Amino acid sequence: MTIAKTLPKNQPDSFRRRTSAVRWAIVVGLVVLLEATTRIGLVDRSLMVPPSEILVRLASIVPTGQFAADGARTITTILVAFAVGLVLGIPLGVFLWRIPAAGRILEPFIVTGYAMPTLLFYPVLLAVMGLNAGPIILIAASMSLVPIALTTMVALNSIKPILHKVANSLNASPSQYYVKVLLPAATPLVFPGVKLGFIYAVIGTIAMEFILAAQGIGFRAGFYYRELNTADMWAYITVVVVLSVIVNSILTWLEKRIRRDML
Amino acid sequence: MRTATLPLFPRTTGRTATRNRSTITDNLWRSGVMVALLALWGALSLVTDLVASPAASLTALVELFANGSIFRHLNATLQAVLIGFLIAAAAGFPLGYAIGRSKFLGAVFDPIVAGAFAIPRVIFFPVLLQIFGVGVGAQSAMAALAAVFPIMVSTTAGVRAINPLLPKLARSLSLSPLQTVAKIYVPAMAPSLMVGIRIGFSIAFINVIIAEFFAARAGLGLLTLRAYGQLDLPAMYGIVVLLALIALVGNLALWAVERRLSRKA
Repeated sequence: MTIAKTLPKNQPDSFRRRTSAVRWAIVVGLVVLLEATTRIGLVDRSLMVPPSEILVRLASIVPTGQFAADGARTITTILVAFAVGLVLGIPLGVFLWRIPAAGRILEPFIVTGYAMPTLLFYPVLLAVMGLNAGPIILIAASMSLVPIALTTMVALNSIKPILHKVANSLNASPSQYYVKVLLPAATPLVFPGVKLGFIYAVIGTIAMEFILAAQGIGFRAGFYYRELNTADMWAYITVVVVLSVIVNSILTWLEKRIRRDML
Repeated sequence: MRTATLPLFPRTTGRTATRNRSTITDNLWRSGVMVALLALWGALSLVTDLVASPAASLTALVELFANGSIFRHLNATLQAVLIGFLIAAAAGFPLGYAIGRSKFLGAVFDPIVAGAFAIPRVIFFPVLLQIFGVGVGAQSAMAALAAVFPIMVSTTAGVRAINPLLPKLARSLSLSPLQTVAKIYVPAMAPSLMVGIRIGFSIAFINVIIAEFFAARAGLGLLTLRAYGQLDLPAMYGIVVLLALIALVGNLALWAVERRLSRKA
């Protein structure tokens, strides 16, 4: 989300302070409401435990070796899946841009691939690769690849024609054309797709771990659900929520920086 | 989320004089790709036992339809997707519209929405299971929870990208708020709305299947997992094909709606 767009630089500081105060009031209010309703018993304990109890539980979970192993597994899976999505997605986007006919012809397939639950192949991948990170990486990578490729294509298509002419008239070599002209011009436009790709890698990884895995943060949340251990389940859900929000803030910050540097 | 303003599924087909001819050649190429994919599938099935042949899979699928055992599952999945999607649209559109119209609400909620967008909503499925019990209710809730954010975000983006003259026009015609939304905003932001609806549909569909993998009483996801458990691979691949077809048909239908809307605008 672009804070930069909704809050231009010349915005008075008081507006920004007021909105962020309201925002925090809403978040804190929700937590307090949860705490109150769970303490009174309005919300059943099998459904939700008080947030303060989740925090206490987290404090005892985080230092354990099991948590470290789960976290390391999940984070490496996400990163590898995202890297694969990036390495395959960007060239695919460039290809679809270079050969518009290919883009036009393959479009229905790509769009179907977007709406197709690729995770249906999970059982087969499981049989081929075994119960390890491999199948999860493949599926999460396939999920993150599509938005990256599509945004790359759209970004390259929307580069101003004058840039191509400049490169041509300066007799730029193909590598100069890509590195010095296309790369700087497209990066700010590609970044939203890369960000979306990363979010999809996170979602794919956690979802797959959740359904069927032997390790990982997503697996642990599903595991404690089956054990009817609501407190620990919520502790792991909280970890996922916090992780996603942190990742998203980092990406938003990066996006703002790239846009400022490049545009 | 700015991404929603980019056409994620760009329409590249130009409306030129050669359109008809190029449509035909495009479709020929598309069927070529289809045949190539089928050939690849067939070749894979010869190499490994883990891939059933296309013929066997289609036969298994036809068999499932013939003995009627699939209808209960098909019904459960489609119902969950539809209910979830409608709830998401009913909640996401007004919220996205309000956030887009008001500068204050936008500044307050943008970061919250962006943060929530990045959270894998599947993680809340156990909680939904405890609220709704195992069944279509939990699946629909899952779909609604997942689809509401894309719809909301692209509505917000659409409202913000609107030509500033249009709201002024609405005011000078002294339209009621409802008329302003229906007659001015919705037609003007149709492309952005359609992106949201398309992504919403896809995400609702995927999440229903994920939810059925985890726990369900009926549904195509459950059926796939069951077929795999019984090592009935032809049936499993048959259902996968059916799901791809549903995704394709759903997208084609949305495309048709989109084309009609853009012709009107």
